[in-house]
Parts: sequence; structure tokens; C-alpha cells
Amino acid sequence: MSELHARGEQSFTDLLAPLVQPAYRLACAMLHDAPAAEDVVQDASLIAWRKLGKLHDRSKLRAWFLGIVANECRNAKRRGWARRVNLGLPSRLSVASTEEHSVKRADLRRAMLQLEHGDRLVVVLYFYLDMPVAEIAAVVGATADAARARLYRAIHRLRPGLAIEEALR
Amino acid sequence: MSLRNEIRAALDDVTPPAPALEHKVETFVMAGNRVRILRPRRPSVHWTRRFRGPLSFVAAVLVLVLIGGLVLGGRLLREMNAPPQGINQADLKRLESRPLRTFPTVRAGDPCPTSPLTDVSAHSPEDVLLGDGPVYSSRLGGQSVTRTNWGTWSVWSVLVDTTKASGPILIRARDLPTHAEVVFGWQTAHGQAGEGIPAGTATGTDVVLGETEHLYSEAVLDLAHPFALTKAGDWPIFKTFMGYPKAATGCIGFQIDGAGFTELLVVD
Repeated sequence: MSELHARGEQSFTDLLAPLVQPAYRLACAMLHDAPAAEDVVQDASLIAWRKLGKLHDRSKLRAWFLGIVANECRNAKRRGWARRVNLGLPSRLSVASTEEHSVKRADLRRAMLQLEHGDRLVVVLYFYLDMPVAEIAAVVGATADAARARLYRAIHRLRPGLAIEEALR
Repeated sequence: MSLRNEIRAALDDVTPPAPALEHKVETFVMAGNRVRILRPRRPSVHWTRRFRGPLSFVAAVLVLVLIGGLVLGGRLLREMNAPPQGINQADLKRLESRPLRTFPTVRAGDPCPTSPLTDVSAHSPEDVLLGDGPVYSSRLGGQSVTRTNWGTWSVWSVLVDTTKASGPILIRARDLPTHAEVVFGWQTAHGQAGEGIPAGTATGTDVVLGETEHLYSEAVLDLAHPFALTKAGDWPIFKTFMGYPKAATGCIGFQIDGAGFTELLVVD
């Protein structure tokens, strides 16, 4: 850890910087709130940077880091005291909401938001970040079979009439 | 269209490009590694747990505060350029007479030289905040960001170390790259307790969420009336409704004057 910190910015560029954009996409997809997603990525990066020494297998860096991001997304509402008590300003006028041009896409986003956190997470990792099920399992801390079952269940909730094989294309 | 493409299209709508995010994150992380520890951390019990018991009481208090805030807000609108109520006017005049100091020079496109992070976890629900104190700032942004024809409005939250500050605290601010004046409002926020109270001269108006907002050049914190959800034992929280014009960048320098101190705080 201390060796990594001694290398400072260079190590950050080498290790975590390539993962910032995937982390941001994950956070946006989970929260549907870009400023909050940026905050989550910053906080998760700081946590990851401080705990990097505990990660012994660097090949699992992406899954480990995205797991931290996912956890921070789950905690975002609880930790976001500065914005949660938002003086009663209606969320329909938030920046993200004004960009909702397509009713169909908005409906799908609403359906995803209604998924339980873990189900939404596997859907985002599989469909939006194009991660294989084995790596998704590492992010969510489950076996590959359990991650796959969770993915199938989430797909069924999003599109009850759609065959799994077709959905996975 | 496949489910994969549908999901991508739907999520792309809520994922605007963030091309400079790597730099921002790196700056944040590197600053975080140099965070100064003021006090030992508290046990890691989540702060919201302490609210669970008295939550209903707090909710009742909040309703009363909101009602009081509405009444106070209405009165302030009627007395638009009257000095803030409850503030010692002589103290306020002394603070207003202090000239603005020189803010850091920031050219367009330069990274914002945000103030250092300080570990305030012993006094705050947030672990780290910006600044050297006695006033510490949260980062800007969040769900309360509202854009109007004039510019951008946001809620800015600060904590005040009341062992080092007393009396009224005066806030004036500029957008650093453009030198545009940052303004403070009140009406939209319904004048809740713990709000930064707009002061100085009203330089114009804007319509924010259907409310006519007068644009004040200053805000004053009344330490006797912090935000209602400030936890007992924590430093008081203040939430200020502030805006900056469209041309501004959001890299904002605050000059914060109080009895015995002047603090410069840069927030992005």
C-alpha cells in the first residue's frame, strides 16, 4: 500500500484511471443522476485507492473496483445528506429528467429502477457494460450460477414474455 | 431492437459524457490521501441510525420549521432590501466593509483549484469536506440543481466550526474564470431555518420553479439558527440557495468573513 502511494499519481493513472469511465457508466445506470454518479465514482475511487493494498490478485481489479462502486451506489441516498434534503425542489425539473424525450426509453428506465438493487446491478453489468457472467459474479460476490440465475430473474421481470435466449443476444 | 440495444439506449439518456472525469477523480483521490485528520474517527455506526428513534419528532419539528420559514420568507419578500432580521447590523456592516481579497486566477479550461479536503467526520455526517475552516463546504451539485433562462441554481451546504466562529458570517462569491458575481436567493427555498439569508443589494430577478427570485449579492449565516436536521453534537449545517449566470463555469471562489477571520474557499 505504502509503495503504491509513494508512486502517487502515476499509479493512479496506471491502475484506476482506465476504470473511471466504466464506473461512471455503472453509477449513472444505477442512479439515473449524473452529478450523483460523479460523486459516487470519486468516493469509490478514494476508497479503492486506500484499500488497494488488500487486493492481491490484480486481474480482479475491475470486478473489485466496480463492486465498490455498486456498493457506493446503494449507499448514495443514505450518504447524500447534502442533496437529499433538497428544499422541496421537484425532481421532475432536474437536469436528467428534462432529457427524457422517449417515453419508451423512460418506461424501461422506470422498470429498471423498480428492480431490486442486486437485480438491477447484474442487468447493467451484463447489458450496459458487456461483462461476462463470471466477472459479474465477482462484482456481486456470488457464484456464476447464482449471478446467472439473478440475471434471468431480472430479465423476466423486465420482459415477462421474452425468451431468455432471445433476451441474451 | 434487441433488449441489449433497448437498455443501452435507455441508459445512454441518463449518462451524459464526462470527458474530464478521470482528472477530477485523480485530483480528488490525491487530495484525499493528504487529508488532515483533526479528530479520531467515530465508531463506524451509520449516522442515520441515531435518527431512527427520534425521527418522528424531527419530522414534526421540520414541519414547524417549514411553516415558520414560509411566514418568514413572505415577510422578506415584502421587505426586499431590508437588512436581514435577527442579525446584528453593526457586526454585519463591519464584515461588509472588508474588501474582497484576491481569488486564485483561473483561466478558461484550467482545472478548478478546489480547496483542500479536511476530515471532519467527528463533527459531521460527511467524512470529508472542503476547506481549512472554520467554514467547511460540501461539493456543489446534486438533485437540487435547477437551470433557468438566467443561469444555474443549486443548494450549497456548509458546516461551521462554532469553536472558532461566532456572530454573523458573511458570504460573497465569484465565478473564478469569468469573474461573474454569484448571487443568493431565498424565495424558492421558502426561507427555512438554516438557510443562508440573502443580504446586500438585490441586483435583479429570476424565475426559479415558478417563484420570483431576487438576486442578492451576499448571504449571511445566523449561527443561532442552523439547519433543523443538524445532529446534536455536530457542527451546525447551513444550506444556501445560490445561483450563477449561464456564462459562469461553476468554479466558484467564496470569501467568508466572520469575527476574527476571513476564509477563501474554492468549490467546483
